[in-house]
Parts: sequence; structure tokens; C-alpha cells
Amino acid sequence: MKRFFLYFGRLLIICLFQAFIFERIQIGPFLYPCIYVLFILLFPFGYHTVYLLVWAFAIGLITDISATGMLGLHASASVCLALLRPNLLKLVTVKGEVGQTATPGLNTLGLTRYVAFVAVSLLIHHAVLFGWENFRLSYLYLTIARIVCSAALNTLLIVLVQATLFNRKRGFDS
Amino acid sequence: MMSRQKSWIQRTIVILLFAIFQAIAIYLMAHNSVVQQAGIVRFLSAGHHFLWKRQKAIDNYFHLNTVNKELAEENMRLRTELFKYQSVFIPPAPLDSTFSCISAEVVHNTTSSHQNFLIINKGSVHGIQPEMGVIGDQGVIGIVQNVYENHSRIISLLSNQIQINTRIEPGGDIGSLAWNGKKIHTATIPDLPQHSQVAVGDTVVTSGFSQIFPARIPLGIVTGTTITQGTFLEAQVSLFQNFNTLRYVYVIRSRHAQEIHNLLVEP
Repeated sequence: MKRFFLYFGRLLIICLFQAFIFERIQIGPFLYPCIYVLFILLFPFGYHTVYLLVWAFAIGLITDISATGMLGLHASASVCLALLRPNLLKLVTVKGEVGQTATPGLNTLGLTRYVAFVAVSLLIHHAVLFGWENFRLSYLYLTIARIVCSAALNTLLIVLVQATLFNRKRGFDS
Repeated sequence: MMSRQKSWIQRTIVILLFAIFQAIAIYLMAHNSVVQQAGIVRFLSAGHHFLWKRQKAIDNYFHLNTVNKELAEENMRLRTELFKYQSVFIPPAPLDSTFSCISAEVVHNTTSSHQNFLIINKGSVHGIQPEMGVIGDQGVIGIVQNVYENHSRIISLLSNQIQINTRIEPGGDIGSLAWNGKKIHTATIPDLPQHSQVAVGDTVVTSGFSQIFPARIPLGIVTGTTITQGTFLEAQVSLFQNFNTLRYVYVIRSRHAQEIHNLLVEP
């Protein structure tokens, strides 16, 4: 129950930051700052995918309502990422290396593996997001460029936020 | 044995849940315009109009200087126009104008998507209807999509959903202008015939063929031409309007729109 409130509070705070700060930073169509994906990446290694899907759908829908004009866009992308997250984590860790309650971060995975994990997650998320948003093949190369550029920017943002706020040994996230 | 069975069940649940959530998301995307009419979304949008308005109130404060300067410049330009007219002729009867304007303030504006939109603070109460044109002080902004009581949602010109019928002056060639999706101050006219006489530096204005925009609103300047697919001439256009600093817009109301629409619908 305590866990639930922790995640719920985190969801609210990240949504507020996304809606009031990162949605307001408009650098053009190629760079879309999208910090809320961090919420999905922050769950512990052993967190059950069923609950993860529910949380991902919730944050996606909240972002849809607060930010874009198109409902379902972020929800779809977040749910796709949540489904694939356990497999991604399996790729970057050795079995038994980290505890089930630990969270993926710089302190548990190290810089290289964590950046790779975030980058691949963001590529999946943005591919679904921008794919749905355009929904036509005539903009294919542009869409790919948008996916790669935005993913690069957001990897940097998310790694920085994780390193500064959520990287404690015994913080409120452990 | 038990654990394997259990994990199989769990995996099925995960996949099912994923499918359900995806279905909901896709349903919402597909029925966006319908759902937006529904009460619950109207309630939600009322909520975030409230938030955006608060945000805007703070925002506007920081932009007072630039806005004042822009308004003063616009005033000056309009005044010179007016003087010109006053010196030339005195109209014999009151001018019968087809178009009239409703001024509105931009409450929310996006430029970082491929389907950008704006929210303005005037709605059906003020006489705004869907499919009206919206212009800024330096060109076309977009077309009204949804109208609520006190707010309207506008499809931005920076969107892959709309095209504007334009004429290139002084050659007089007609083409439809669309955003190219790359930068917020460039657009293209992709379907000009090859023999058209378009030169760098020509001005692009609205053609006035539709009842959405009056004729001769300046939009931008031609910055280059290329031949695409061997058949068409594509003109790159640099837009006058800066969409990032947009504060005030004008919604264009046409008196004859309904009449012409009826003519088009009738066989």
C-alpha cells in the first residue's frame, strides 16, 4: 500500500513536470522533450508486468489529456514500452546479478548499460508515438529523423534526472 | 509443473491486458473527433482551458514589451494604409464587405508536433463556427476545427492535415501550400506546373478561391524551386508568420460562406 502511494505521488509529480514545463519547451518538430517515460523505467526489476501495464496506460492517458489534442497517442506508446520493458531488462542484466526490489539506475547498471537501456526504451516509445501521430508513409524519413533526434535528447534528459534525483542508495525510491 | 503452468497463465494475462489497452488507445485515437464532443471530454477540456488560461496569464506578463511593440507597428502600418485610402477616394455608399474579423487571444499553441494546433479564447458565443479561417498579423494561421462555448480549437498551418490555396505574385500561378514538417517557418508548394514562372523572391498570397480566406493575404516569400519527379515544380516558401511568438489572431467570418457551400452541395 505504501508502495502504491509512492508510485501514485511520483506519477502526479512527473505528469505535472511534463505538462507544465516540458510541453512548454517547443524547439520544433524534431526535438520533443518527453520526460514522463522515466516513470515507466523507474519501477523495480521484479515488478510485475500486469501492474506495469496499468501504470503505463494511466500515465499515457494523463499525458494525452494534459498535453496533446489526440487521445490515446501516448497511452499506446507507453503500453508498448511497458510490455517490452522486462525483455529489455533481461538483455542488460545477468541473471541473479541484481535483486528483484532494486530499481534500474546508474548505481545498479552502470553508465553504459543504463544509457543503452534508456535509449532503446525511448526508441521503442517514440517509434510508436510518432508512427501513430503521422500515420502516413510519405513522411517516413522525416518520422525516422524525429524518432532518433527526440530519443537522443530524451536519453540525455532522463539519465540526468535519474542521476540527480533517483540515484540515492537509500532514498524514497528504494 | 505448477510454476510453469502459473507462468503460462501470467503471460497470457499480460498479453491480454496489453491487447485491451492497445485497443482502447486505438479506439480513442480513431474516434477522437466524436469523443471530443462527448460530455466527459468536454468536462476535461474545460479543466485544461482553465489551466492554460492561468498559465497564459503569467506568460503574457513576460511578453508585454514585445507584444506592445508588435501592436504599435501593426497600428502604424494600418494607419498608413488608411491614410492612403482616405486620400484616394471617398466611398459613395458604405462599403459592402464579404469578410469580417473576430479578434481572439491564443491560449495554447503547439509547434513541436506534426499535427500542431491552437486554442483561442473565443467560441460559439462569439459567433465562431467550424471551418472558419484564422489569420495572424503576418499571414495565415489555420482553420477552426472544433468550437466550444468560449474556446475554439484550430488546426495550425503547421500540420499535415491542411493545405492553403495560394497564388504566387506577380506571375499569378496557383498552387496549394502545405507545411513540409521540417522547420516552423518554411512550407512548400509541391504541385506547380513546370512551365510556371516562379522566381526566388516572389510573394505568395492567398488566392481567394475558397470562402475561408479573403484574397491577397501575404503568406511568405519563395526561397527556391526544384523539379520533383520530373513533372512538377516545387517551390520552397519562407513564411512571414512566426508561430512561436503568436499571441493574437483574427478569425475570419464570411457572409457568403453558407450560400456558396449550399451551391456546392446542390447537384
